[in-house]
Amino acid sequence: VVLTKAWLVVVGLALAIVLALALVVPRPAMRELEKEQVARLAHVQHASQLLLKVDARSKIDYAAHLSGDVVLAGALDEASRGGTDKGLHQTALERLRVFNSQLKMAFLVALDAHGRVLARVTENGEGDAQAWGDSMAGFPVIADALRGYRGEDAVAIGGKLYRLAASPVIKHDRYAGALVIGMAAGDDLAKRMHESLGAEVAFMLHGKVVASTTSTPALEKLPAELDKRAEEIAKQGHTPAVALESGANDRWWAMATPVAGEAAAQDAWYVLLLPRTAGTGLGGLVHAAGGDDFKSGYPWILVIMVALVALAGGIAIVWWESESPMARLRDEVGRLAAGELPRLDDRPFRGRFAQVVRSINSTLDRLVRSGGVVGVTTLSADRNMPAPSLREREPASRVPTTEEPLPASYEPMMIAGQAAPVSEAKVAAPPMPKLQVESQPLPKFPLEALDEDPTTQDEHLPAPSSRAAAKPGLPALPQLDAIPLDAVSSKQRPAPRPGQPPATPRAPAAQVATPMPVGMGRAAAPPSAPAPKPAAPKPAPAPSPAPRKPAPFGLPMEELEIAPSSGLVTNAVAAGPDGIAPLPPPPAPDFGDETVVSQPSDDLIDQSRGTGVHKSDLEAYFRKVYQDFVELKRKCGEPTENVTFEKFVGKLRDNREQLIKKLGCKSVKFQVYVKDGRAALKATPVRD
Amino acid sequence: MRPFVLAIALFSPSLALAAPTEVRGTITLPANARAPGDRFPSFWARLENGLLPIAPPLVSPMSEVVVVLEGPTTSASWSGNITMELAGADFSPRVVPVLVGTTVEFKNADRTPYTVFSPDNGAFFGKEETPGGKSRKIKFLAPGVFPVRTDEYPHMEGAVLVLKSNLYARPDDRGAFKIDNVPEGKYTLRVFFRGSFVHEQPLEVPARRAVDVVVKAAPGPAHKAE
Repeated sequence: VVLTKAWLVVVGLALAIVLALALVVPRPAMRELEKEQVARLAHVQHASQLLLKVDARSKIDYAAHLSGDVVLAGALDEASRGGTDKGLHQTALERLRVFNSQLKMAFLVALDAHGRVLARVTENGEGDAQAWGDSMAGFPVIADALRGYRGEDAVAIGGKLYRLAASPVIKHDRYAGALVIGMAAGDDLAKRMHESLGAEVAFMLHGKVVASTTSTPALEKLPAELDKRAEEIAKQGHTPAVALESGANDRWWAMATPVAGEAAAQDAWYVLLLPRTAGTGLGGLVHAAGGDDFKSGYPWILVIMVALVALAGGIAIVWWESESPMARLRDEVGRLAAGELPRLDDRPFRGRFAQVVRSINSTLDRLVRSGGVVGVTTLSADRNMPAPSLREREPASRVPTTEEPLPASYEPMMIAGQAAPVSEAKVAAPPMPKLQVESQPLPKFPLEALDEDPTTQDEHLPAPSSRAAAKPGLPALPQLDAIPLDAVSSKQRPAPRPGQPPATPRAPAAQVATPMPVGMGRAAAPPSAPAPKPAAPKPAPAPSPAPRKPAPFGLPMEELEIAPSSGLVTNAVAAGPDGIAPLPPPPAPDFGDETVVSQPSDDLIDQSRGTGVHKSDLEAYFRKVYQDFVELKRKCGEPTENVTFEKFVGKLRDNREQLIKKLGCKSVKFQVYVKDGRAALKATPVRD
Repeated sequence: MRPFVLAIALFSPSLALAAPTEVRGTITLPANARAPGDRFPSFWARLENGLLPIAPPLVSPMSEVVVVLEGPTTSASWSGNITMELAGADFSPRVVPVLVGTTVEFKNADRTPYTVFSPDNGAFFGKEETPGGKSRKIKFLAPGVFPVRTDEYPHMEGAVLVLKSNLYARPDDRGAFKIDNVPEGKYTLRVFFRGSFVHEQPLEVPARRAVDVVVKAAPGPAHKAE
């Protein structure tokens, strides 16, 4: 899972980086964009000044042109000289109507030399009779016009903003008056400026919008900005670009400029507005992104490919690191549970899966060494039955006997695939079933194990001190065939182990056939041992016609109770052609719906052990034979001091090897019996 | 700059010895004296018509000048009325010199209303709209300069100059002025123009002898005479 974690880390980092970039990248872009917008607004403001200047000049020229009207000049001259005839007023009024029919100014005013209104017309051509006689000499632009200047100004009159242009009216060699044209700075002017500048234009007077090409409520925030920026306005002549917004979709750059002329002192401004980009940052970009952005030229293929590559990479890594090993492990464990494998092969696995496999194998090995697999088999037969070999192998202080209940915490080791739940597998200390050796064929004795170095004997062998007790120079053991075999009585047999049912009394002079150790061949299986599954590979073709069940793996010999025999050999040994009588097939256990954990085959067991017969088993077998032999000698009243285990076992081994070499048998079974009142030993070859 | 020269000629010595003397003289203003409209630059500076020379303004700048003699013994008051008219978007006259206690009537001669007030003197001369044809009276009880403005048109600039002495004079269009009945003593001659004193100089008035003064005023704050 290292790569998976690394992949997730990479993906997480990539996402974090992408997110960070997505949040950061727009900022410089937006900053540059805002700079561009501000610069553009400054250009627009400069252009607007030029536009208004040109427009003002054009209005001056209009006024100058109209002021040259002779009829108007004559009327004004007469009025300036004191004429109050209404005819003068009408004459001037008519002329102004003619002028304004073309110009469409807000108003036209004709004043005499004293600044008194002779005639005034509005945009629709209506005359203002009441204005006749009013004075307008106080307006600077008019006062200048009465002196001979042409000029223009902007002024707010009656809550409206007007731009004025005035020109003197000259009659011969004197000033006869002035002509004033007034243009409202309203929506028309703002619209024309908008069309020319490409920016929204608004005119404000006393903090209120009097004309605008946009109806944004953001302008309501401008007066406060103007108050804050009075110093900059005085220095630059206009405000810097001011960010205004009244909502996510109402964002503007605004630049306010005082309206030139007296209007500037009347708190009159014209404002240029450019829309700001809808939001900044990632949110702004997402908000600004439209459907068209995903249509033309959008690298969908690249995006999809990257996503697919990332997805495929992740899936591949997860599959390679987790899914595949897990599936393989599941299959292996399934096969192990089914008895097809003695142990798991950890070579195909890596990392934690290999650790798991090794842990399972270690558990199996430990079970094998301790006979734990018997427990599995036993559980198959009777899940409430503790593994006898397990208890047998454990120290007496730790393993309770069958007569005393096991502690509640004591649980037999479970093997993967075992169906019995842990709670049911707890050892409940039921009575130990008896394993009848008579009903089972003799186990196969792998010859290879006999050649093993005795120094590699396992921990179950006698202590080195006992083995070292053998001293050279001891009298050689008698020939096995010559060993007298005394009758073995049941009362001379070892006392039954605690929890074991009392053994059936043996017949006198019964031949004791020490069973082959587990691992040395096919050992007698307990009656309750389940039959191997059909799918399980058969370890080797069994020559015996009787169906053989695999011996419980690691079943100790101590658990096998030797049934009394009427002859020198047991029934099983004496009845067969090679000394082993075929046994009737054991009754098939009825497991009901219980999950059956089959006994691993011998081949698989051999494979798992690697060296064939377990050396400890062979040694245990020899020890058993030795013990039986010594005990029988003691019973026969023979001295046993000179019969050392090492020499005895060495003899057994030599004899066994000779027989195997000579007869080509696979194993050799030793039998202890009483011959002529003396203990004797008999070797019987085992051919299958 | 073309400074004007104010010349004050003394009357005959016999007259000067017979009565309190008088101060006469001529005041000249700089040619670039600021016009009201100059405060509001427009897109285009005013252009000459090219046909006729520029005429003098309808309202002479001298109408906005007041020459005042301030001395230690001068003290006077008057409880009469003086009218300052609002017509044609202008004050007429633009400067009104009055004695302490004088009531100034601001008469709106136009059809449009004006909101007349005195900056920084809102306590007694605050903003109040005066409809067309109506008047508003304000009594000035303390000496000083009281600028007068309207809320509608910034170009309208007037002032009420409240004096505690009647030793003042308004020059004619040529700048000539005369202050009669000036007792002997040391005075300060101050020239008020468009809302502020632009010139002051010490003036010692001898007994029974007229004093001629030539004043070259300059725009800006008051300064000593040359």
